[in-house]
Amino acid sequence: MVSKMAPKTKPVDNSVNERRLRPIYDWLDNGNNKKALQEAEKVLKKQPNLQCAKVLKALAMVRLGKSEEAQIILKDVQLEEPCEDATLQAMAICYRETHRPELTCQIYEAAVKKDPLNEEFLSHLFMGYVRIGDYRKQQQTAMALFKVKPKNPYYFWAVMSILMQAYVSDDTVCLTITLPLAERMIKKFVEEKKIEAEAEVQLYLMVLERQRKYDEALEVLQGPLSEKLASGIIETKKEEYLKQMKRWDQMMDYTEELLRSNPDQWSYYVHYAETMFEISSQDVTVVDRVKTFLFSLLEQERIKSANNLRGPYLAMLYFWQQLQQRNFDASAVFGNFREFAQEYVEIMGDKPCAFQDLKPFISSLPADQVTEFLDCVNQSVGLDDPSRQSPKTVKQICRHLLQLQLTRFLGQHDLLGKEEKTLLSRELWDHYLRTKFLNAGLLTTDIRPNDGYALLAAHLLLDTWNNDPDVLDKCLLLLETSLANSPANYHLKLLVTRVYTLAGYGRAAFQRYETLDIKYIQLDSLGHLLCRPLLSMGLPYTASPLLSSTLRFYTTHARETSECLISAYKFGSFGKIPEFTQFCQRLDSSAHFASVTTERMLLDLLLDSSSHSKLVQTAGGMFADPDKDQPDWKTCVDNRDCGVFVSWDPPSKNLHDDIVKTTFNDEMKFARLRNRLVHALIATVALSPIWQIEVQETKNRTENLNNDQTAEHPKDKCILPGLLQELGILLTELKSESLMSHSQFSVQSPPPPRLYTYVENGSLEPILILMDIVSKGQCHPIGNDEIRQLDNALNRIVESAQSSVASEGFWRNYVRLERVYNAVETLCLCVLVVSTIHAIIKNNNALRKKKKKKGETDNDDSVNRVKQFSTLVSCVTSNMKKMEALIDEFGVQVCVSRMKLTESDIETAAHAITDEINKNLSQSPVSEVKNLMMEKLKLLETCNL
Amino acid sequence: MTTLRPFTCDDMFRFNFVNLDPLTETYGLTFYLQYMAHWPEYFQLTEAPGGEIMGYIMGKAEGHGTNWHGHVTALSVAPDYRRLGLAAKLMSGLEEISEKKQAYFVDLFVRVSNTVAINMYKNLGYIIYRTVLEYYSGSPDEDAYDMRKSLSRDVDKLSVVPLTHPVRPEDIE
Repeated sequence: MVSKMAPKTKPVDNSVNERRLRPIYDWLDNGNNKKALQEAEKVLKKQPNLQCAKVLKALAMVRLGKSEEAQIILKDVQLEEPCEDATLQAMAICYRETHRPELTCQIYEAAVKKDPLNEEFLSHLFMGYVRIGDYRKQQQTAMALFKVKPKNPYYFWAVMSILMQAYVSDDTVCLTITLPLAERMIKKFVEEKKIEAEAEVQLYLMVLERQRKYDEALEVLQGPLSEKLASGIIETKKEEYLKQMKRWDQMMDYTEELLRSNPDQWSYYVHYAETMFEISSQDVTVVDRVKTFLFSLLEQERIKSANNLRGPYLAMLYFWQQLQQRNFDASAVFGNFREFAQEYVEIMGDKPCAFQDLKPFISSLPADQVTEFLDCVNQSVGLDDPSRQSPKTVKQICRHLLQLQLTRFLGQHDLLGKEEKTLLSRELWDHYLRTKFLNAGLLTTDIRPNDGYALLAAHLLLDTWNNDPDVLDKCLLLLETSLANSPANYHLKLLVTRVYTLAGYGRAAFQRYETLDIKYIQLDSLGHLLCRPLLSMGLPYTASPLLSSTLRFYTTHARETSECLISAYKFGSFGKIPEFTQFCQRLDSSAHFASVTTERMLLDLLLDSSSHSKLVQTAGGMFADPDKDQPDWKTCVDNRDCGVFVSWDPPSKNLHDDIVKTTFNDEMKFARLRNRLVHALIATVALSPIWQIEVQETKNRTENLNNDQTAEHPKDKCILPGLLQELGILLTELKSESLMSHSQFSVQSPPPPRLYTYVENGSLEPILILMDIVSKGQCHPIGNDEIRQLDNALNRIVESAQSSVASEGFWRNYVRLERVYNAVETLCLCVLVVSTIHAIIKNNNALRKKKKKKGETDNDDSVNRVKQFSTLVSCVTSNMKKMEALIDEFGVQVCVSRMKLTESDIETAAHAITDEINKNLSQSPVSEVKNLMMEKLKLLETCNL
Repeated sequence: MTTLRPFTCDDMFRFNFVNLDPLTETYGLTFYLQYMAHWPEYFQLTEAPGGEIMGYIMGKAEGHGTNWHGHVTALSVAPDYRRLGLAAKLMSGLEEISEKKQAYFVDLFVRVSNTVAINMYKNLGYIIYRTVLEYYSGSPDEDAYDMRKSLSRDVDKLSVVPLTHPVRPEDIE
């Protein structure tokens, strides 16, 4: 059969080809890549030059994990410069799946060169540039498209591409050249009355805003083009422009107009207050105007009989607070803050949001009015004696909880002693039990209205904790009991997870954490709650899958986001384009991402190294590149949602911004240290003779295939000393800093960074000593000094694991476990380095033997080398044995701690719950670290010469 | 007190008070981003004075001819911010946009067991247009009500004449 030559000209749709290719597509669509591959090969037998079949074969190979072979095929096809749509599209899929979007641009560039008027190709080329963010080429391609087909979207794609250049380029160029060009382009269309869509008007506004031409933008809003804009946008934009131009008088009128039509829109009040202060510096009478206006809004609500809006009531508190903060006599101007607050409580106190609403403002209540205010709130509950009587309706529960929460927030709980707090907690628990009847008929997915009692009771108990195990038991009991009654309440789940974490029960914490069903973006915003802490609690095997799924989220998002970016162009949602780009960057620069990536690598080395050759395989498989595999530490961002825990603590005790900032910085420092550590370890392993055989060969093979893709392996010895030096510098810097004390961490704060114990215990030193031995060269005999230093360093970390009372505060038990894990991890990593030294010495000895003439005996030097190495091994072994004994002892210690509950506690709790907690607490928290130790001890045993 | 504004990417980092509730699904990024890319005006959120996200609505406009309509894909309010009429507010915003886009009606799907939501939608003027059999997968599968409210363009209210027979999910346009 004569096969068709690869089409050099524009191909016609070939029905025969199409029929032949169809089954390959079908198999691919069904995910049966093996069949697809076979089918493609079958077609290629008949038509060896059918490009599309070649590419589909490559695609099947990519999906079967044979990327290297697929690349050869793709490269060949690319050289033929295909010009057929199906082939190109299939190639684009291959490139997308192998993360090579830039190649998609190359093939379409070639196709467009051959067929410059092909709208389809140009459009694919444009999207290709969008994927790699080449704005200038986007612009050129969009204009070429517009010339081929004068459609509005193409024209505005070009304008948007210009605007994106302005977003990234330096200000002078963009203000004088780039942006005026974009503006002229749009104006031309406006004048020619060619504007069609809302998106085009929005883009016009974006271009004007970027040039700070608010005057003109305002004209657009008031002109005929505004008809194309959806409601909502006009109002927000007009406010923004007036504000930017500081036209405060106009702003005042306009904001009042907006508030009159929507007195519940919070952002209007914020702008209104801002405007008032701007004007008041010139004309103080404006405050009276504002007061009159706000009171008129309030009056409207006051005369309503139901469905009152929160806005006008909270506005009074907000404006009062703002005036006070800017040294106005708010009481004289506005009236009594307490009365406004009471009015709000009266109207909204029966809604569950009441506390959150008041929280930003209520701390402005003058100290001498707190008691009076709380009395009044108390009265609004409508219970004669709330210490004995419990609410009879859900609304009453809300009011009662509000009163309790405000009492705590206003610092009244701080005045109570331990006994009183325990009593109050007990009283709240009684309320919880007595109001349970109100939960009848609720679905399992409904949060119980009385859960607030349990949460508050738990918070009170935690106040009194101070590592008293009885308190902890009680706290867990009431949280687990209320969670069993209200399985949808995530506040309970979060708190119970945290209490198990504080207590050092990692596995129980993990079980509860899993019920929160945290996924996708939440892995980034909430992962910090338990992801890294699982390691600190000595659960490397439990942490492993969690780290993997988190990493998967990070590595897939870029592809997903770029597809959505393309959609935004297609649908003309231009405002979303810079937003998506920034979002993508925010995920890429996530500190959690940096931390998880490094911890994942370290954990792989640690868990996937049962033998030295396995270790080499694992390390080699990482294709590590110490320069490229680290983020720009300076631009890393904090994506944690630190506000996820509810708290009614007074502002003085609440989660401070500085603890959020400090933990972020310290987590980053730790991630950086660990990043350098893992690369140093890989560079160490790369010096093993086994690496030369197993890894280097594969690497050479792939490099021949594709020079630019594979990351450089640490092939020469020079990179280890450099990394060790970097580590040394980082460590010296860290040691000179004063680190935060664990006692500053509250129940709701982010977990204390591992950095503190890690540096304090000298966790890194023994590994550094060993890596240094490798780095100094293969022939260097291990000196007595080095062994002595190593023994001291190892001793130190084992001892620090032993000293359990070294820290105080809520996180004491957690920190205790962390020290144990630090020691175990360091010892195990040391074993990995020792196994590498072993492989090197063994290989050298073998080489020497080969060189040696028969009958010659070993010289003193090599005998000494073997002797010194066994001393080194026994030093590590003895420290590991010491640690093993320590772990056993530790395990026994914690396992005996069981719930000790009084008779009255038992009465109120289901036995099943007590049993379950006991079961959780009886799991030894150290079994995983023990397994890890045993495995590495076995590896160490193989290290004899 | 509410700020109603378009949902942005950054909101995903802090929508946990809404999304940790088991009835609110957290989807992959593409789901949210595609809605933002395609129908940004149909994805709105409400924020409390303290900055907490109280709830959000996701929707779209689709269909041809007299079937051109607004659709509510997801509506979710954090447990602590319920009973404030936020859902109604978000719904009316979506209806307003659909009016502006000259849609004939707005529709939504709801689990037949979710009586609280069904009653709320009824109070907002929605009727049960039809039952969609086994629309929600699970064990067992659950039927959905397709609820509708006509907009001013549908002068004769033809879009809200209830069907007498249930339909299968594959028969939904």
